[in-house]
This record gives sequence, structure tokens and C-alpha cells, in this order.
Amino acid sequence: MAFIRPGQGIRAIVTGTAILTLTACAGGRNTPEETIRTNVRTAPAELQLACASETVTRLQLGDEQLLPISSGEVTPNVYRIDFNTKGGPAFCIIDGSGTVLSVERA
Amino acid sequence: MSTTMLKPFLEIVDRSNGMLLRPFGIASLACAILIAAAIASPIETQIYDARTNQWYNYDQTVAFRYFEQHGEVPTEFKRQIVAFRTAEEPGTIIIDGNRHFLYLVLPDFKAIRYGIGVGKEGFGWAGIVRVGRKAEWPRWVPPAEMVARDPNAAKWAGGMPGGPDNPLGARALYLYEGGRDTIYRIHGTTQPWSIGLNISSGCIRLQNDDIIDLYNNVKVGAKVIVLMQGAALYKGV
Repeated sequence: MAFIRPGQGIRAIVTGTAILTLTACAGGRNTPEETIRTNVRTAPAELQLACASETVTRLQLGDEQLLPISSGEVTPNVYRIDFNTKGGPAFCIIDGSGTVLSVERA
Repeated sequence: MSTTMLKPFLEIVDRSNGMLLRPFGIASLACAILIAAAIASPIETQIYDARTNQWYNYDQTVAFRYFEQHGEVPTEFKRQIVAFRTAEEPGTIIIDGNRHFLYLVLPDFKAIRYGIGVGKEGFGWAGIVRVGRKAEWPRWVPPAEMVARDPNAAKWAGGMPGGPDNPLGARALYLYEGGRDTIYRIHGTTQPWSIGLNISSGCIRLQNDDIIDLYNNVKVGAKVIVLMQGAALYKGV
């Protein structure tokens, strides 16, 4: 067993922690949380369905079943979802928490 | 198309109104243009390579190589329980064809998410259908259109018995609309590396372990919502 002089152990721990922190930061800086994505950021499925349901309600479309024709991220975590209704095109804006911000005829 | 390219157009719109457009309005307009551009070009899956810090298209070659090297599909495409806020009933299947995920709705705003392969360009579809019937180690009978265009399918025009070499894999859920067979199925595969790709003739494929899990948790009559932007709505065969 090697002897460690007073203060040497603390210096080693501090240096080691600093190196580990720097390494972790450098390694994590550019690594995205997900390793799979689509080239076009479509709205998550649950938001597409929530918007479809809300569009039917707000535009009083009765029992019409809507499916999105397109969607995309307007601003970070806010999505626009487009529909073709029997009465013409419409769109819905929804945030990532599922709150519908607006529904309009296009 | 980048937002930088859109900027001059947005400024013209802004001046023509004689007032500042709300940032939200500008973003929405830009998004509408980007969405229109997206419809024109197919939505593709990309994979991140940590060695080069770059995103690459996840095509058949990359997917095959990834599976060869790792012995499994990327983590995102593995079966997992996720948060899923929906008003749809537990037992409903929701398919996000663009992101290559199939969700089986569970109680308490959760879902089992599976990675899937979907129809290649021109073969994708969207619609609301039902599980009409289920089969273990299903027999594969290629539809007439497939027999006409694919010599491999033509060999089995009379039907291929179920088994490990059958392209439908271990299980199949037959999708019906209004009591009629749509000819589309959710099934297993002999090509586990193909999860995450637009590769099929319109069927939705899962890894065999996953289709067995889904099969065991889905009842005949279950609602199936297929979301696939840029694809045609199912209107019968």
C-alpha cells in the first residue's frame, strides 16, 4: 500500500473531479437526447389527435373524423396541424403540453 | 428550406399590412410554408452518429449495418412504456407512420410504444380502421397487384404457409374497415433491421417479439388510427 502525504489526496480528488467534469461536459455538449429523428419535425401523435378532436368541436363539424394532412413545429414546442374538413382547410395550434391555442379556418 | 431563406418573403408580408405581424403569426406562416415544402419532399428518418456529431439519413443500408453491428434496433425503436395523453380508449392502436411508432393505449395516460416499418413512398396511407381478425404464424397470400409487380411474391401467388421464413412473421392483425378486409395488416417480419424504414407495400411491420406482445394485448374489434402525413387517406380497395 502506498503512503499519501497530507494534502496530496485532496489535490488528487479535486483534480480528478475537475477532469471528470470537463470530460462529461465536453462529451455531453453536442450529444442530443434522442438519436433518432425525422428530417421534418412533425407534431407528436397525441397532439395531432387532440387537435383533430378540438377542431371538430370548435368548428362544429358534427361526427366528421379528421386526420391531419400535415404538421410542423411553429416555435419551440408549439405545433401547427393542418386538416382538410368537408367545409375546407383548417388548422389548429397546440403546445407541447396539449393545450390548444387556436383553431381557425385556413 | 431554411427560415433565413423565408425572411425576405416575411418582410414583404409585414410591410404590406402596414403593421408588425405578431411573432406567432410570422412563425405560423413560416411553418405553413415549411409544412408545404415538407409535403413536397418525403419525411425521412435520421440517426445521430456521436463519432462525427452529425445526423445521417436512416436508409436501408444504414439500418442493416446498424443492426449487424449492434444486434438490435436503435433504442428509440425498442418496445417501451411512454406517457401518452389521449382521449382514445385503452386498447386503441395509434400509428405515427412518419415517426415510425405504434402506440397501444394503456390506462392512466400511458402507452406501449413499438418501433415499426411502414409503406414505402406511394404505398403509405392514413385512416381509421379496426382489427378484424388475428392469426398466429399467418399464411401469406400476396395481393394480385404485388404478384404482378414482384417476382418473389409471384412464386407464392397461391399462398405461403406460416413459419419463420414467412414475411408476415410470427403474428398478424388483419385491418378491416366497415366489415371489409383492407388488405393491410400489422404483422411481424423476417427483416428485424427494417424497423424505422419506409419499406413495405402498406403493411405495418414490427419485430417478431413485439408483434407477439401486441397480439397478446389487442382484442378483435380494437380501433386503429393510422396517422401518415403526406400519404393518401384510405378509401377502400
